[in-house]
Amino acid sequence: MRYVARKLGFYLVAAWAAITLNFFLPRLIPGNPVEILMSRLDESGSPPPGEAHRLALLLGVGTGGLFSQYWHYLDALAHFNLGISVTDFPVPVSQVIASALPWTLVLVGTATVISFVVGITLGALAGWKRGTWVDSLIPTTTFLTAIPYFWLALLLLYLLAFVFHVFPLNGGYGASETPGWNWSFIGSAIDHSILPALTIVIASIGGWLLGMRNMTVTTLSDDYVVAAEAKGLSPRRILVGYAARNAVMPSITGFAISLGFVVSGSVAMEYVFSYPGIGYELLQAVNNEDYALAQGIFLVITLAVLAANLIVDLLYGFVDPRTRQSR
Amino acid sequence: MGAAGLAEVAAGDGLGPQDARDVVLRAEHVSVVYDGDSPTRAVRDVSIELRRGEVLGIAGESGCGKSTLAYALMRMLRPPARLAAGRISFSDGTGAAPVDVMALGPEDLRHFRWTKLSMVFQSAMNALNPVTSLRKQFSDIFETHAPEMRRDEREQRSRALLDMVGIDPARISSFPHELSGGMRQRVVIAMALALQPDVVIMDEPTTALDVVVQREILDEIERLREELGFSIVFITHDLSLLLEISDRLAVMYAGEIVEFAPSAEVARAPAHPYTLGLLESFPDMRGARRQLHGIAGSPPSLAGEIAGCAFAPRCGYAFAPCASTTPRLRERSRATGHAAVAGGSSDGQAGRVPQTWSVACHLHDEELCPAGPPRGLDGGELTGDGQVVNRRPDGASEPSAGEERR
Repeated sequence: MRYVARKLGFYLVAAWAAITLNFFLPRLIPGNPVEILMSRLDESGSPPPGEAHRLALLLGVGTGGLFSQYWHYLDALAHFNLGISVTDFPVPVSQVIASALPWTLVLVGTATVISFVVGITLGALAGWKRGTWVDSLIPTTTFLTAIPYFWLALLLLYLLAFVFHVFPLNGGYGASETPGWNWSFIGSAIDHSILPALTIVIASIGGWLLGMRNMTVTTLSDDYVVAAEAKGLSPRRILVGYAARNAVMPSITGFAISLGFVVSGSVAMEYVFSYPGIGYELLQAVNNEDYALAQGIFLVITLAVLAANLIVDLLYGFVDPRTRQSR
Repeated sequence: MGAAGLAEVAAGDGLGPQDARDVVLRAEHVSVVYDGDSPTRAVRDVSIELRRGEVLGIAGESGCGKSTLAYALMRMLRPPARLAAGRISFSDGTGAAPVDVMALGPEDLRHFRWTKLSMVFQSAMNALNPVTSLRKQFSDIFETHAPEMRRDEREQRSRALLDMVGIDPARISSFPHELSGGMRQRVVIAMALALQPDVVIMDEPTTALDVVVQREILDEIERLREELGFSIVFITHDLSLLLEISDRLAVMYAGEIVEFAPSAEVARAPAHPYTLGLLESFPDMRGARRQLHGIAGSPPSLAGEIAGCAFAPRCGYAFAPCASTTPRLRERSRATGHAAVAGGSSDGQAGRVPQTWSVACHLHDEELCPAGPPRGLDGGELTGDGQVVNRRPDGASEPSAGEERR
């Protein structure tokens, strides 16, 4: 339990550091971002009163001492007040993020987990049975990983959606559906998510497979695996409990990193499929010079990376007892 | 008579059929090849027999095939290593027909391992799975080989095993990294004994430990052996250690056994120049102070054939036939005066230990060396620096001035 508490404490400090950095970074940019932002807001319509002040607080260029600005910034964050989006004026940034985040989390998260699990399993098998059909998957998957993602995605989109109409062309759900908890909408959302998920899995599975395969080959010659064999344990038990169990460690670290990028890392996918997720919003924010939205998304991405790392850190302590603090 | 003679000899050396039935593990003409561009013959036509309750030592320099032989005995060879020839049979002492280990199918082999024949590995540090608790690792053994055991029975048995090797049973929840090297070695030994096997192969079980812990572990092994009655194949490069703990000793050189003898006697009077060289390379704790000698040179490459005696280039006693004719392992004929036990030790020793003593050296071949082996290899007392050293464990022999080797 102390292990968990220590980890938690460490990540709280890291989150605070990230938030603080998010506050100070814009202050290092020369010029006055508030004026630029306000002029853009004026183009889209009349901003609500006090928005200039709020923006100033958010970007840390407001009036008052540095410390009071920082305090107001923290206060605004505590109320999820990230300012107003220019792109979707006058929707608050927090609301834009809240509506986009689930799409990305579910789709990219699921795809990443599937890719990891399948890749690790096949990798362990490939290392275990070197030279069999599983092993011959490696060149193929490595090739698919090496292809630029956007090109692979466009190719699959063209073939499976445009030419053969197996999957819908774009979007997160059918145009005729209204978002809500009804089967017709959920079915449509799943239908729209299969192709994007497939492209992510195809593009990333090779890395997991190759890494796991090589680690398995390495652990297979480790003494405890040889000893397990001498003990007459069943091949399945040796593979799962001894070889793969130890070989999976580096992959779990890699998984932590890729989980952190679930939120941010699929801009290309969401762009190709016009998927209504965070990556798509980020792209919109950049195209429209929507600083408030971009900054809000960056903050969410930072926190997501931290959260993912925390989860895997805790998981790692469970998987590898050596990383646990001694009692 | 070559190595093939060992089995026949065992039955006919005075102990009779009783002795033949007492053999628990027998390997005949085992050859192991590491395949490759130049195949390495790591073990060359080796035959050994292990008797019930005995400690058989296998000694030799690094790379002489000791561990490879051990892995072959367990059928644990992995490519590129393969058993090129040989038979390995195991009998459990109940009078049932011996099991042909080479003929076991995968499932039978799995069952055979650890229940009949277990192994303590060279590096105990790494022989335990680093990410699971000792409890889980003991359970793995019982779940596999004794699936009828209930969870609490497994727990109880595991704790008893830990207790048996002198580790607090509460440590069962520990992970390997929480144990010291000596404790890990004890745990590994406890695991090897979990199913009360007939034979435990110990491949350098104490090499990584300091001498104090080494001593503790050896005492522990000896105690357990007396208690449980299993046989041990003890492999090490530490000949002084082997002389102390083993009943019989096989000295390996370049993949072959060059001398196979009762330990107590070989300590006193080795028959092969290589054994002599090994004995001279470490100090005798109780004996007189003497000059230590290493064996100059290094073992030959095991790729391809070796013409003549493999040890000849390093041997101080080499003579003409050694370069061309390969000596075969043959029983020392102590009955002829050829390798007669010299000095005052002949009466008591020859009659008391009716065990075979085989040596692969032309010096002991009557036809090639009619004059008999030189002093020092003829069964006389080992000497060093002109001093006769008393190596008899019972100390009965009197040092005599006439037994200088050189």
